Amino acid sequence: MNAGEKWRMLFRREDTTGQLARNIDAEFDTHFDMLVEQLRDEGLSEEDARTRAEALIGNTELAARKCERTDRNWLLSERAGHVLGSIAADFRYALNIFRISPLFAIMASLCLAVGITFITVTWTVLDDTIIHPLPFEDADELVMVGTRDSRMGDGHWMSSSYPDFLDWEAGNHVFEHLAIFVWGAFTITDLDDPVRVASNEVSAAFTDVLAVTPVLGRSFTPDDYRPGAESVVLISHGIWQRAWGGDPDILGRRITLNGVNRYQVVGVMPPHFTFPDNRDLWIPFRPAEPGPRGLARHITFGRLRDGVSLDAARAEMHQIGIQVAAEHPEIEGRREVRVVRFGPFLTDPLRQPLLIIFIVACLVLLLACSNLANLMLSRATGRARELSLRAVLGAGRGRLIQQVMIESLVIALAGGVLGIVFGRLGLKLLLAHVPIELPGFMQFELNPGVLAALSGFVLLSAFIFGLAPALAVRRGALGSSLRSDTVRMSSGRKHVLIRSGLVVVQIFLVTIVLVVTGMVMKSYLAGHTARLGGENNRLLAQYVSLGSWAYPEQESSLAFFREAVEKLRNSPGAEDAWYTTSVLSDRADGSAGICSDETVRNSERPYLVCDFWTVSPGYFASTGVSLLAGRTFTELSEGERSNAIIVSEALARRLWADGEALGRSCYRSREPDPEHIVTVVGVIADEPFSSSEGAAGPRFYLPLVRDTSRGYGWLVVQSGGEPRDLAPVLRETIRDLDPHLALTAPRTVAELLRERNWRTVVFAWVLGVIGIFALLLTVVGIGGVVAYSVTNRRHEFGIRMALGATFGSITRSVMRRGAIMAGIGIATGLAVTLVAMRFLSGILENADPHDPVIYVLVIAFLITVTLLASWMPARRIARIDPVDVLREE
Amino acid sequence: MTLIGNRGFYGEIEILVLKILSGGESMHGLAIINAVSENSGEYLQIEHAALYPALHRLHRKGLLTGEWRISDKKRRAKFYQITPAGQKALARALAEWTAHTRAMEQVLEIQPEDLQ
Repeated sequence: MNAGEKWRMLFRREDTTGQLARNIDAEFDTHFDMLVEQLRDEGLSEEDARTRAEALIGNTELAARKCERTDRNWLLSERAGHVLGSIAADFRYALNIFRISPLFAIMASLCLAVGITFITVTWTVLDDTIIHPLPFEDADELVMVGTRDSRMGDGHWMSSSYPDFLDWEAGNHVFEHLAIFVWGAFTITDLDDPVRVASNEVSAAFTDVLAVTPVLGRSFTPDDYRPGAESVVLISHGIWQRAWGGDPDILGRRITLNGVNRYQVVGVMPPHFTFPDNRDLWIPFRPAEPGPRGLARHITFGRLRDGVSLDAARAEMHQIGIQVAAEHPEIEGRREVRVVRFGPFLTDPLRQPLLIIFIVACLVLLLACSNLANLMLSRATGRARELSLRAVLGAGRGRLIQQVMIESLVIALAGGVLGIVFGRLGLKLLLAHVPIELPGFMQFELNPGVLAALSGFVLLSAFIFGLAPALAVRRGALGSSLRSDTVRMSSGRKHVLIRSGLVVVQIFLVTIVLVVTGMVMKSYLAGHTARLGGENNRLLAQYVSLGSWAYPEQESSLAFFREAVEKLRNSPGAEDAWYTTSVLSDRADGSAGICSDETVRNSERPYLVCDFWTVSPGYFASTGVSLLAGRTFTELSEGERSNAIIVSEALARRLWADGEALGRSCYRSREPDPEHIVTVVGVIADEPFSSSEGAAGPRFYLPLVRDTSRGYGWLVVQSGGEPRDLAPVLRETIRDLDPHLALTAPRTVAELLRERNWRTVVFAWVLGVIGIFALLLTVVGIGGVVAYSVTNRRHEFGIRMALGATFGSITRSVMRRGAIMAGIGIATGLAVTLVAMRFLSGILENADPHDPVIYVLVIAFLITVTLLASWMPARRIARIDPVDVLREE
Repeated sequence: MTLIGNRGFYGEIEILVLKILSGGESMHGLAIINAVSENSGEYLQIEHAALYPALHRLHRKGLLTGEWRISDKKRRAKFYQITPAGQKALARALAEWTAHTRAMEQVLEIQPEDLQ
């Protein structure tokens, strides 16, 4: 069979099979005739020969059917081979577009890549925190059980006391295991460079609840919990690497924690296991006695039994709670037992910001897609001639559609691959910008599930974006483009309409993105620039935890801090130095009860609990706290006692109805205890700082003396210039005083703020980047469409100018289109945003979700951008010479 | 006379056709049947209709070519000729066939007492 025959067989199937049937019949006829002839030659009569021949030949119909089947199979396989071959050719051809029209190909791929990048990053983060927060087996069975004291307000963690835990453990039927832990911290003191690490004291069922086993050694056994048992410790994989270089002989080694106990390492936990947040050590929780029931300092968590629902667990624990409360009426407050899922609980503060970022990323992906659609459409129109020519030369429609689709696939694949690569880089960049140490369970690795979904999306988008040009091929729009220009103009106008619609969608999307971004940025800036005194950006602070093993007496820690402050104050480059329990003036390190003779007469609220700071005198001079009345603390000599207190305006009003506090006495306790009597020496203004978390509540300040001295706090130095330059001095001074202290890196106030507001910081940072790209995509989109429509109307403008239209009128006419698109897009975008803001308002700490400034800025900005993007092509077209255009005819 | 037809082993007819054509001569269907018959001492007689699907398969596999020509007896008939690929396929089929029949013989020659 020659090539021509093969070709005909392929594309004219019906004819082929018909012809084939005739061929076979002809062959059988010939065969029969020849056979009869042969039999006659052997001496048979004509009649006998025919009968004999029929018998010999057998079932010709069956044979013909078999031949047909052979042919059909052959045809199918030949066709498949041919299609595969043509697909390969189309791929080669499609790759060529990167050479032929690189700008289009690169723009199209980049558009998709931008969209995919943000989705990759946000989805991975979302997946790791909200969708699959805890990397444990059947993590959705993990719950936290706790009480909430109605008097204590809504703290984040729900806590429980050990006696409660024992009752719950004994009484419940809903948990497979129930465990308890207490927060703690240790200094590992037998290292060259002692480190302070977070720890947990955990009960025996701890590893059973989480279904984890150490990678090295063993978990705790009931023996470890017996009174008098040897002290044992489980260490994290991270600290094993950092402190001991991953030494495999760590098992059985005794390590020194807090200078005294020698703890035997019995196991190393798996990598990234830092349950529940950033813990590095776990030791058995072995209370000598249950302790007071009212002291809820512990966290209880458990694993639901198979088949037990959260509601069932809640119902039973609620009953147990009521029972326990009835048996112990001495415990005050409404102590309701609650059960919540652990994973969602841990990541709850991140849920809303992440969802918002994800939604915004989806909007940007839509934006990118509409841009891509625009690009594809313009290319399809531009290529109409090429495709028509090929159609005229005999290429079938199927073939052309296949080619257009494959081209779209190549661009989508390029965009997808780029997007995923950028996404991975973006994740790294994002993690580098998180100023705190994230819990070990947040690893942000691109996982196969996300990757598969993204690949699916890329293929789908290839299909959708290939569809428009492919449909154009199908509808037979091709023939027309070889004909006159008038036809092209009218079909072009239809295209302009579709494309303008796409631009309106883009402006709509970008409006939403920009308003949301603007709100978050504003909230971020408000939190970030919180004024903590005029000198705040010249401060460097070092947290110091002395440790009760080395400084058992209050006198010794007081002496340390006094001496440190004194030395720092006199060190070169330092203007001043002081001690404080908390550097940030809007967040204290602790709260305490305070009452006055007036408050105790109120039986409802005999005392109040408020934030307090313990500070050395330098604190007030440099942190911008404004004194309303009285004085600040004075320098005291060693061993001198002081009963001075400085209260805030709000506290003064709460302690005394007339608000006159200066010189009056009150008690630094929950009841009028003469031991804790203090005298107000100064009153400070309520809001010396623009707090990032609402108005400052009542607060008081205590001087650093023996009674108030604690084993930890911040040493702060104020620099004459760059605070970072003081870091070595700060460190050496402290090291000189005590070489065994575990020191973390010193922080500037800006860094502390960033750490505290890290969610807003990262949130704003990510949204800012997304916003910039969204804007870029929109500018490209608007510019492209206006330029395209202007080129399409070249002929029309030429005529209009020949008839006397001016430069200005042409420009205005073009820009009017831009303005209309912008108007519709912005109006609809704002309408949707106003509704969506209800969702956003919950997480914006300092921003009013209806802040008119943001809206006005976004509107003005977008209108400017749209007009600029349409002005440039308008100017170009208005400069053409009408004679040139008319001559083209 | 044993008729090898649709009930026969798969591929027997193809092997016979290729063998008959392996001399390089082009033959029509009836001539092939006659050649098989003559060369087997008239023991093997291909069912005439069954020959054509086999010829067709060989043709589609590219092992034969076919061409309509006028025969010696002035009749228009389709003549088949083996291709180089057909020669190779024949060599392979013969090797397999030989191995197959040898194995069959070995089994069939077992004496009854050896089976106990």
